[in-house]
Amino acid sequence: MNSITGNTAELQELQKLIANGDEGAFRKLFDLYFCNLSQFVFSFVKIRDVSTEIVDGIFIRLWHNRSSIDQIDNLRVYLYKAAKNAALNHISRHARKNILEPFDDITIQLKDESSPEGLLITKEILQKIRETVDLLPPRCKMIFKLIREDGLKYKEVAEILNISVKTVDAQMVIAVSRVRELMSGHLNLPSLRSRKKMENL
Amino acid sequence: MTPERINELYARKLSGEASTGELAELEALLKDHPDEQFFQEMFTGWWQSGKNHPMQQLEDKDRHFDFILKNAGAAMSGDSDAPAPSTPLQKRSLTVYYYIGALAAAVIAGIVFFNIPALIDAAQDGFQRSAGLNEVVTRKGTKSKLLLPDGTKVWLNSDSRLYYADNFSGTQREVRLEGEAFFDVVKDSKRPFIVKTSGIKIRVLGTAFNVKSYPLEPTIEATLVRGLIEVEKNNQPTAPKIKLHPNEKLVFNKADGSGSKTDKTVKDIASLKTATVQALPRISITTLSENVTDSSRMETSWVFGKLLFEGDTFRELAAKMERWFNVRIIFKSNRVANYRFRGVFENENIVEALQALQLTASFHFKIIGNDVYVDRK
Repeated sequence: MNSITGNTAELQELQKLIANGDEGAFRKLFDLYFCNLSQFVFSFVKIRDVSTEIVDGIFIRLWHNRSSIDQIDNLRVYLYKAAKNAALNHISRHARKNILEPFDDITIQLKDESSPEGLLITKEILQKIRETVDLLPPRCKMIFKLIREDGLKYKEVAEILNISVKTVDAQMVIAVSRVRELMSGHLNLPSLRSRKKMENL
Repeated sequence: MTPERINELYARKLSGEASTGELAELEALLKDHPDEQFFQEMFTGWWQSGKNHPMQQLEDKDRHFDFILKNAGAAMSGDSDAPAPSTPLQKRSLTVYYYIGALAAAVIAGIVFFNIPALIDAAQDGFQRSAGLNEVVTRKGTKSKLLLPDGTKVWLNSDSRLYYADNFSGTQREVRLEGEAFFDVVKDSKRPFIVKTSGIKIRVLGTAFNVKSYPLEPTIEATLVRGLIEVEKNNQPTAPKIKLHPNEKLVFNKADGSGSKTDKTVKDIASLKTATVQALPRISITTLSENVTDSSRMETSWVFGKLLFEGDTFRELAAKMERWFNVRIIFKSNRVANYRFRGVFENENIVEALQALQLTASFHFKIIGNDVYVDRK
């Protein structure tokens, strides 16, 4: 599947080029991940400037050590893991304590939506769905965000967050069920009339 | 109540983790649960809306990238911990996501999508007859965004039609427009992108621009946001083509002989263009002020869900409002119709919009059905 953060074959190709010092390829990688990684780091550190600084650091190290970049098995997972570690290191350095369970205290911001392509959703419904997703428990929401917005696979999320694939699967079901539950009051579920109307459109 | 299994399968489907068997199972289950299907359609729409990569604010990213390159080359003495960059980069918050929010405002209401066999008069415009023709129509009061097969994004303003052939992805990317649209064209130097209107033809390689060509309006306008476009008159393919640069706007007068109308937003007329303009007297080019964002520029503001007017007469504004709100505006007083306004509508409905106008001008209005009657007080 082609995700926003690049498919695997494309990534491996980039890795090879970067290992040979191709600056354009490095830029491509940077474009693919910089924003998403910054968002991810932001969930932990909660300060915008610090988040981008941390991600800068990850890319600096990556480019500096580019000759060995093609030894990385899954670059996408590597980047997120590096981002998480750097974020947690930053927090514990500044809090002078070890962070054991990072999920208790994360702030996850969902990306704003672009307009849905030709779909029959109104602004109000978009807004409502967003609000319900916003209410998900932090860990659930982070998993949800990584899969939806960052296009990661269950296996990758599991590896990055050090949890099992089963947990990822279970959390996604929780997320969907929650939204379904909260939405039932707000969606005009499906009176015959409204469905008819939609088909006519 | 939702059967738990449905949510379980649906969650996997969304995530791209469902097996073929699971997909089939879900589909079978949904047959007995139309309400679940309805929810899933909505939710899938929302889910996918988070996947589109929006326009990104590149300057900020550029600065980060330069910073990274500079620091990676410099003192990196094998330190495995976070590197201490020489001078911290002046940061600006990520503005990327704001853009998407603005675009979300341009959300769709009603779209009609046909696939018409090539019966239509399109052939006369040079569309290949053999191919089917797709037509996207927005009604008055609605707007739409669509993605062409090549990835080009098109925002279609109210009361507009866009046609493109089934073989769009062939050697040439060609669309025909009636009405107004903003194009963000995917770059492909081998296959130029061509927009045909009733009076002019616009040829581009990769760029973002706005075209306004409503049948009932006297002019056709093209405004370039970035890139480079080439404009030629329909019946004069041999005449010199006009090149438009970013922040320039071309106005084409459909009526013969009528001099080129100067636009109120004109800052100055690009003198360089004069020669070409004389060759095609019905065309004028104006340079727009550069330090205006796309969302607050008259020509492109509608993409961001804003109706902007800058010194329009009430009559001119009414034509825009008729499309925007899907109403008919009838003036009973010429004096009122000649009032001039400047301002912007964003989320107002027709009543709120008219009331806002009443704050600065004295008039009276009455709404009957879809008709708005405007009279002096």
